[in-house]
Order: sequence, then structure tokens, then C-alpha cells
Amino acid sequence: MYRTLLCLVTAVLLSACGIDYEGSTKYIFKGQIRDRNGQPISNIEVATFVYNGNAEDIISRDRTDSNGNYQMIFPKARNVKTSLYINSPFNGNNANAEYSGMVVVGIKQASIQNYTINFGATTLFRNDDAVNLRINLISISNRSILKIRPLGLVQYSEIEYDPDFFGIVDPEDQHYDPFNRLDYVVAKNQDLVIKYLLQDNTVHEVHVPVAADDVTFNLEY
Amino acid sequence: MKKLLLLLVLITGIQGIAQDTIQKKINTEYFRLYYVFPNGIGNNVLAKANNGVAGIGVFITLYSINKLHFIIGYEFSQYNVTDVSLAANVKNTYTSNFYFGALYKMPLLNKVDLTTKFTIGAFTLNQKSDGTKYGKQRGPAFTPGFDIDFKITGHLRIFAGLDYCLALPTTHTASEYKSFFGTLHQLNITTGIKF
Repeated sequence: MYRTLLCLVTAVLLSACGIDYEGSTKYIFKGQIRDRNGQPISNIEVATFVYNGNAEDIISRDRTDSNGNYQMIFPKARNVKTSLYINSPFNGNNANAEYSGMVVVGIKQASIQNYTINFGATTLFRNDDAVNLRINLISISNRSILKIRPLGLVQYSEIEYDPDFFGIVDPEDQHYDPFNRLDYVVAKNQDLVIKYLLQDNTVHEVHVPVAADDVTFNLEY
Repeated sequence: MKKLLLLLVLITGIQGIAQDTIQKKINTEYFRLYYVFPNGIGNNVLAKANNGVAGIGVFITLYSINKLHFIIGYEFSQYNVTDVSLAANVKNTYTSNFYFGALYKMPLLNKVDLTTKFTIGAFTLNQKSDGTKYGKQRGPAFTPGFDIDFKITGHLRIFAGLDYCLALPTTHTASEYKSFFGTLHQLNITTGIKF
């Protein structure tokens, strides 16, 4: 009797952990993938990832067509964090090894207008057009760094959907790209911005020029 | 003369009743169990992003008046998702239809009847993948159709038919996709037994 009850309770709890979908509401994510020259890239996989703290799911995926366009339509998931994975390791064997990948995080329900988000054009760079960037953290104050992100053409970069937001919602936000990651692969010949959040909740930016060789940047904070 | 007329009326009446009885025995359908070959048609998610696999249906006759039958039934079909960008990253789409309606039976040949029908149902579309559920869409469904049956023995008949199903599940999405998800057309082949 108790065993049966325990099984039932466990089953109920497990089902409660799953993601709750609303089948009658369909969201549309779309956009275009281009290279550094503005040319569309075909056959790049894009996936929509949802996570509710207990369960996760790739609810939709698509490959860019000959014009670099992608579009995914999927049911609304309630109370989840939503991310867009573009040619990332999360896409597994479907990732195109010739090009960089990235993830757009922090996509909120409120950002979805008319059931749609158009991510516009996203630029990927060729992996043979890249160099290494190492960031050395040099403490010159008593404030520690909570979050650091190089912004620009960065391999497996994590971009906030809301460009005005730069904070930490909770530690689970860092599951893809830990804030203390300091080694990056970045595209050659660009002006990178390194954005960082200090313990006193101040956000800072510093520009890092990247040429054709590996870069080591000393970040004093 | 009056006796002759009375006899004629009686004979005619009895013959009419007998014909009705025979006709009723031939045409009355009480139960139907059938296999469905589901098939989405047109420009909608069932047609463009799913492939019909199989389905099953059953109905019973609640009441019949000569050739007209009033029925209640349930039909369930499975589709495989073929385009995850349109139908979400799931394995299967399922449709079900709990319906009531009427059918009208017309004898064609000896042992062969044609049945036309029209049903109105409560349609549900849901998606599942390895036990995970992806929500439901519900709405009305309208299904005209017909079938031709062949008498095997007694009341037992086999049949094959064609149903067109227009389902209008509730959909909230961008206007350009409302019809794609909210106006579903199916042309289903059915075959089974009835008695």
C-alpha cells in the first residue's frame, strides 16, 4: 500500500518537474545568419532551448535556407528561460564546423511581440579566420568580478537578448558560458568590447583591438 | 367489391410493413469499428509537417429511423512529425474526435449499401515525444463522408470509405499562421467492419 502510494507521489512529482506547454499558443522565432561579408550562410542549425530549473528541452530547430533564413514555430512553454542556440556545441553533430557558434540568452515572454521574435541578422565567422584571446584579471581594488563577457565576433559567445541588461539573474544562467571563462576564440581584425560586472553592481566596458595574431589582454579592475 | 378493396389494402399494408422490416434488417447499422489512414491535406500543419501513420475509430447507433441513423463515436489518429521547424521538435502528433452525427444508408446492389454521413465533433490535437506532452489544441470538427459496405453474413458487413474532416482548433499565434494551425483539413480513408 505504502509502496504504491510512494510510486504515485513520485510519479506526480516527476510529472510536475516537466515543462508545461500551452499547445494552442504558437511562438515564432526567425532571423537570418550571415558571414562577416554580409553574405547569407546556408545549412546552419538554429535551436530553441527552454529550461524551467528542473527540465530542459529543445522545443524547435531549423536549418538556414539558401538565403540564410531560419524560422521555428513551437508551442508556448510556461515559466521557462528561453535561449536561442546558433551552430553551438549544444546543436551536437548538427553544428557546422566551418563557422562559429553562439547563444542568445535571456529571451523573456515579454519580448515576444505578436507571438513573434525576429532576431534579425546574426553574424558568424569562419573558424579559420580566428585567433585566441586570453584575458588576465588583475585586481587593483577590493571589488571582485561577478560576470565578464567579450562582445563582438566571439566563438560560443553568450549574448543577452536585451542588450541593456547585463547582470546575473541566478547561477543557472551561467551553465553555458561560465562568467569566469577567460580564454576565447575570436575573429581576427575586429574591435572587441569586454564588458564586466563588478561586485558593487557597476558595469564597465573596455575596448580590445584584435589583429591577425593571438591576443593577451590584462584587465585591471 | 368492398371486401376486395379491404383485402387489397390489407395485403398492400402487410407487404409494406414486411418490406420495411426487410429493409430495416438490411440497412440498420448498430456498431462500427474501423481503421483510419489519416491524411492531412491543404496548407496546414497536419499536411505540411506531419505524415499520417494510423488511426482507429468506433461508433454506435443511438437511434435509427429507417435509413437515417443517429450515431455517436470516437476516432483517434497518429501522425509522425516530419518538419520540426513547423510542428515543434516532437515525434508524434495525435488527433482525436469525439463526435455525434447522422448517417443515411442507401442500398445500391444486393449486399452492397452506400452510406453517407455527417458528424460534428470535439476535436483535440496534442503532441507527445517519449512521454513528454506538448499541450493541446481543442475545437470543433465537421466531417462529411461516405462509405460502401458489403454484406458478409447476417448483419456483419465490411466497408471502405472516405471522410473529409475540417477541424478548427483554437490557436493563438501571428495572424499569418493562424489558419496554418487553426484550420486543419484531413482526407481520411477508413475501412472496417460494421454490424
